[in-house]
Amino acid sequence: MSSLQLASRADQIREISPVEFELPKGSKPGMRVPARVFADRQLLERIAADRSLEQLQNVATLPGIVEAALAMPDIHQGYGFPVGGVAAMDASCGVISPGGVGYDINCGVRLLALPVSSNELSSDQLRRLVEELARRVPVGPGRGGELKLSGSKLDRVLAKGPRALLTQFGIGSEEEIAHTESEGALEGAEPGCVSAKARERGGPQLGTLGSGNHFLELQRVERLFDTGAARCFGLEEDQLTVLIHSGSRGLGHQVCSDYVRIMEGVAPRYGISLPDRELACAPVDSPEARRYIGAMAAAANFAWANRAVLAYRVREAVAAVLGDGAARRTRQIYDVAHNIAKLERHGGRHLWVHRKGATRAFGPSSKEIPATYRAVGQPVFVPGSMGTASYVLAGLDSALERSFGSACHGAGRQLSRAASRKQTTAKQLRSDLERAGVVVRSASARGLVEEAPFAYKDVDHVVAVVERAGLAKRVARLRPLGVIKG
Amino acid sequence: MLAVRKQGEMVAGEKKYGPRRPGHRFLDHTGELEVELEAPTAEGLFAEAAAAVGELLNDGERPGGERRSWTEICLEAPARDRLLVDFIEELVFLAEREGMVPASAEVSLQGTELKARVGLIDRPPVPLVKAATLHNLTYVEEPDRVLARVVLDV
Repeated sequence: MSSLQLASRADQIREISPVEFELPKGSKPGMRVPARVFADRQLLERIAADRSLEQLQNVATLPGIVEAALAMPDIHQGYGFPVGGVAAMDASCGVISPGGVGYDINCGVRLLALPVSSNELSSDQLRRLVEELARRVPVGPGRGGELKLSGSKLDRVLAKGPRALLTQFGIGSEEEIAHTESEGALEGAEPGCVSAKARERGGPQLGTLGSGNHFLELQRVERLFDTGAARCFGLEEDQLTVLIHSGSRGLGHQVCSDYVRIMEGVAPRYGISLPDRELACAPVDSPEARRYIGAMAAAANFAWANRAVLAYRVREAVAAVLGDGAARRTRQIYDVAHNIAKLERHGGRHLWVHRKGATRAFGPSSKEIPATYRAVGQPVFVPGSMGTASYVLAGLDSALERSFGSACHGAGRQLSRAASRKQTTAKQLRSDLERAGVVVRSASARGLVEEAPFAYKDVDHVVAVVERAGLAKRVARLRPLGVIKG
Repeated sequence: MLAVRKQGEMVAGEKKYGPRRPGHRFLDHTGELEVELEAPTAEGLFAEAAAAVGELLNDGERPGGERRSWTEICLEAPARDRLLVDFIEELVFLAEREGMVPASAEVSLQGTELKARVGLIDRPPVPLVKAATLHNLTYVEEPDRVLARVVLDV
């Protein structure tokens, strides 16, 4: 099936290298630039099986897009923009598209390293740690966080991100902030551009995980690929880590909804013809785009604050099981966004880089990454699936030339949610995972099955392609021990 | 158990598909969730959308005859398709705000204005749905039935 679909596009797809393919500018009417995919032939066959490539071609039609619409090896079909897509828009004549960021603005990943080796803990202690994490981290329902912010307190979080939590509530630390992409606060955040409804949705949700593919995972460093880079990041073999995957919750979802509607309404006025309504956009210098940028930045800051509160809960759980000392010495490796638009300078040009399901992966030469990591590049986290593994990568300078400094954000789905449900049951999956040494706590039986390991591409294969394409290099492989899902 | 259709199968104008009584089904989509709705009337279709959202937020199980509390929603949009998307988003918002599952709705439509009485079940909703999108949005009113398709971000 997939081979046939790829074959049907064979006259359109050009092989640039064994890990880079291109659909030329003329392959679909209206394309302003080519659509380029970082994948090997095997991954490309899977990618061609859904509408990802068509969606990438649509992105290539947007005004002001430069060089190419890019797809990371984990690309899969989304709505409007594909998931795993990168689009850089000229900051003077391009557009901003809320759909190019997605509904979960600044969905991202934070990695914490515990000062404990998995060998030092009994299986009972590991289980207790998972139970404690599950008890302290609000997951399923929309609400449930203990910090219910509104008014000026919420405004400060929207404007300043985790720093507002540190000053207002003593949550987090300067070291954590330094080890967060953009130090957890995008410039230009405008709380006044966030609607009352978005604030009402998000205010009570700070410090909650959410559902879908969001999770919190206790892991063990299974293998080091680059011991020097691992040492620089503070990772050792067998060390325990906690990976937090969450975003801006209802606040970000509402910001996106609000501005997709606004931009769909004004796009014709700016002479923009949309191949897909969800690609709604407006010129960068338009009042609508400027307001969206202010609201998007505020939602991004809220997401970083959300993950900061979740990290605080993790430390509480560590303290309860392993003691206060272990909690104090639990370090934040980094926190990365994978649904965001940022103003960046590439090749002498200012560009609005939209990353939708893609991670910034700046190399050692970048001044945008913490000084402590400049010897090796920015940490990039690639969650796999709850039954396989996740990766820590390091960004490469070559990524700046090839992908506007971007890499993948996960393994990428290969099965639909319905197809996953056909293959197993929650009870069976729990049992399979427990046998594989993974303790699972999930608020939703259906959600658990939909995120089953077989629903995802092989993460080892995906990151190997990322490395071969020169986007990032492998540093460490993390094996899950316990998973908490919304 | 949810019925599933293959991605790409179209419903509009496809007379042989589906019963004329209200119904919904979830379609294959790699990353998200696509819901297909059908009813004899537009009001019935919007009510069916509430039933579909209720099922999703009730962890995939169709709510039964549980006791409900009722709340009202009033919406206006530029067109019926956008009204449907806005209605689904309003149900998601309601679920988050009230911490309950919106399981059914009595809907009245006047052009592109909607008034709905939404029945809520006192049960924590599974917050699966982030938003209703405009991607591949389909809304077709035929003489004897109304059809729609909406992609949900999950």
